[in-house]
Amino acid sequence: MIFLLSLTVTGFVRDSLTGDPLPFTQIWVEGTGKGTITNDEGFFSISGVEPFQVLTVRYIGYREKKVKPSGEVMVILLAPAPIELKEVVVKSRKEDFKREIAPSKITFRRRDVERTPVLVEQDPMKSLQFLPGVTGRSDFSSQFSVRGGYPDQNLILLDGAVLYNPYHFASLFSIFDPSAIRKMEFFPGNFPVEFGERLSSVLSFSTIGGNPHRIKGNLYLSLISGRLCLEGPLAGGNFLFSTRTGWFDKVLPLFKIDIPYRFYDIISHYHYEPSPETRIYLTCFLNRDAVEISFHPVDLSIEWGNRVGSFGIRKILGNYLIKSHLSYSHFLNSLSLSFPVMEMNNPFWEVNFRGRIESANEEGISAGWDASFYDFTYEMNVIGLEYNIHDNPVRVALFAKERKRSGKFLVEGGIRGGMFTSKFIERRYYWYLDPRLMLKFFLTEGFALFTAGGVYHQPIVTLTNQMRVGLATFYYWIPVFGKYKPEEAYQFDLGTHSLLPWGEFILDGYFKYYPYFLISPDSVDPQNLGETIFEEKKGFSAGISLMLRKDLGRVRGILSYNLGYSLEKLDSVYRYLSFDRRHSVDFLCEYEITPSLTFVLTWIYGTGLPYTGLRARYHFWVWDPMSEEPSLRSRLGKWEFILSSPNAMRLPSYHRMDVGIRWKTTVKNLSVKIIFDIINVYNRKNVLYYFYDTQKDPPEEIVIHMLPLIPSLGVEVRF
Amino acid sequence: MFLLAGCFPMEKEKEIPDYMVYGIMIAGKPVQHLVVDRIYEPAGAPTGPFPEAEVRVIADTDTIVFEKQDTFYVNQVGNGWAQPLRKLSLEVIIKEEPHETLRSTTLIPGPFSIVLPMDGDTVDSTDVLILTPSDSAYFYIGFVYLVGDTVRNPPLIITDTIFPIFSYTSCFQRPGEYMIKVYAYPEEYYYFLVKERSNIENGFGIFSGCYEDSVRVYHP
Repeated sequence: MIFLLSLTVTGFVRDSLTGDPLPFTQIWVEGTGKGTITNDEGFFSISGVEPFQVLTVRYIGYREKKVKPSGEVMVILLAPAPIELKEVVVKSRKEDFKREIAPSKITFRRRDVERTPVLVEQDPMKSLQFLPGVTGRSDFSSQFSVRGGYPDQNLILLDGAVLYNPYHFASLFSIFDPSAIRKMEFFPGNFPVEFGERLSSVLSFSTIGGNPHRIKGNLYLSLISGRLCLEGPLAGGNFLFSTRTGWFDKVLPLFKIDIPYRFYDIISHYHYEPSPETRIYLTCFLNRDAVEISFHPVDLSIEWGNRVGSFGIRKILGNYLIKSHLSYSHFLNSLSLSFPVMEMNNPFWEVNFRGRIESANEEGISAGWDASFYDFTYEMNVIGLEYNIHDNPVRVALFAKERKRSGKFLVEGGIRGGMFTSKFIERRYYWYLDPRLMLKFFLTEGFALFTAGGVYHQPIVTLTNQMRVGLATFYYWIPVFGKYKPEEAYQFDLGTHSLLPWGEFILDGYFKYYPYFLISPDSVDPQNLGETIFEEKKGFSAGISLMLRKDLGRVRGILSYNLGYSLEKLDSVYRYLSFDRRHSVDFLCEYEITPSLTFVLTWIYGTGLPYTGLRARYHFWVWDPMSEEPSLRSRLGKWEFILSSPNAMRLPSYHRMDVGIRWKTTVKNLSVKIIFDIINVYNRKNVLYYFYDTQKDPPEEIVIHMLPLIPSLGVEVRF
Repeated sequence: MFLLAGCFPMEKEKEIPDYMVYGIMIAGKPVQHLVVDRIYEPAGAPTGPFPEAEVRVIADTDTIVFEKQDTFYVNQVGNGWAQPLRKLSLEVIIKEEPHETLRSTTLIPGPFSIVLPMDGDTVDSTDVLILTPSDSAYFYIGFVYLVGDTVRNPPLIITDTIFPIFSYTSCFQRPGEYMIKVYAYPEEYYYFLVKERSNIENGFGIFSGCYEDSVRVYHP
């Protein structure tokens, strides 16, 4: 008798042209009912396969392939097939629906990012603003609030490395070149245990691996910016290099806006596979922004930027995939104001080591670790009021989760335990345990109920002030210390997810309770930072969000609505938080006039956000030591203002419509795309803030508006 | 929950008073000044002249009346009542519509002195100012000016009794004889300056005690 040893077949399925992993690919053993589906990394594992059997690999949009099983790690390349986009989209959406359990999670893959109609530049982050519950504060900031939370409560990752303040000065520019991004995952709430140390949401970017066959690239030029992206094989591996800069300061004066602003950013990525089991990668990200404004007698200079490096190894061990990486994230910023004299600096860096062991199968246990060492400095000097904070906190977290499918239920439960220690003022240790549970119940093949709940902690926070939150381009980050504990939130979601013949519909009710969060007060006592640098708060955000997405046919787009409340609790009354937007409607539409000509239209509406305004003014008297009697202050104007209660006033509603045309053509074998956009097409004068000119007597109210109507023309060439 | 959301008791917006007071009572000064003024809309022309009022300060059993002199209400009956560590109560009765009676209290901080530099010393940017602490003082404000000049340097907030006052380049830009005046204030004045926290009942502003010391120095 001859015994044939059965095999456990593991491997990856990838696009033969781009090298991108193909998630949700079906692999089954012919003649048996045995099979599996690849995960997000394109990874699979099937046990009990006889050596003489044949594996069939199928993914919609690609040519089916039959392969012999092997005991070695396999890399299966599928060639794209000429097929209707509709089938690909429907299949991909169905698989997402079946496998995805995190509430309202949205994944933009490379294809989606390229198709997403956005203006001026394709911008993965701008795609977020069309999702319900995501609120931007102004046209001049890319920062976003998710479900009423502050922008610092969003965890932003690039290939696993944490990015702090990854924003350019104006939201016209994306922080990332879209052609360098393979996948963007957005968890608006109740994110799984592998992510932590933030209270609201996770936005995770993965760079593309680089074309494995030849050097490819694209060049984009517009009236205000330009970028170049190159990818291809290099030294046995693949590389990606992307860089951008802008000439904003040259163009805006044409529209009578004088903001001397410069920026650049660079993303580079290299990966190498010494064997099919092992992949090594290196990602670098650099960006630098600078604004210099002079208006007599005031000179204002602001600079900020990121330096990020990430080194990762991915290895297969039996049925498990082990991913670990070491990253370095350095954020630097400085603000200098000549009058009144003000200097603020907040350079800091983080070295992070994180990893995960995950099963190739959909069900099973996965676990990991996440540890960081930081160096924070915050220096503040305002006319004699001077203080410094320097600390080297350490954070360590361990997590584990298990996913089970049983009948019509899909359940994922996990726990994340963490320790954080800081030594400013005194050495303190903070421990936290974050249990999380997600459940999805499939009533039919295309309709499911979902619910989720979890606990979240955040030990690295920003000096976020209610008054300044809307105007800041970046925030000052510091660790919690002394009596201040890590911020805490409990999240709960309940909703439905429906697949439609041409898209999907998600209804999600959410409640986010903050038993403890920190706000920076208007002023601090430098002699008593341990008691005055933060105000300790309680509050909650709650709302209902609806999203209708149509991604088939010649008309595609997203229509979303969010009803939200975001309040902080005082002793017995409530106060609005800065991102308390009651109603918001977002509409994004792409109309394919011909295969090479597309019209895009976006419209955003939001009821007014709260702000702290001016209620009255009074003469500012000071004691004059020379005349020895009271006199009116002279240098900063003789008037001072009485503020409203925090966030007691409301800005007018915000709305803006942008339109654009995309025209694709070929010139000498080069693929050329012309992009023409008009921002704020009906020139809505959205209010940024109200300013009172106290140099005039009586003071004069001046309304500072957001972006006016701006046309933009861009050309993208692919080679 | 959303039906209930409208039932959350929201914080009430604070009332904006009609009048304000600015009064710094400096220990030992023969003349004390006080300003009674209006509160105005954020923009637009002022809505009238300074209001007429009856102004008095009660120090223990003494009632000190202030008389209107141009912009200020002034008391110049001597320095007997404005003594260190004395509690003062203010009463301002506005004599026009809307009638209001504004009240406040404060404590004049205890005495302190400038230890260094001493009168006649020559100073440069490496020297520091050293004070003996004052009872009840929360913070100090320092002024430096060239004697005989009209240029007013910005005030310096002094939060420690050893302070590098001479390192502020805006203070000593020319050689000559300088006057250094340091004022000790109670907590209420600090919070008025920093957080606009008024201590005037039925009105807005500040009524604060103060203790002053000064030296003349030479900067080469």
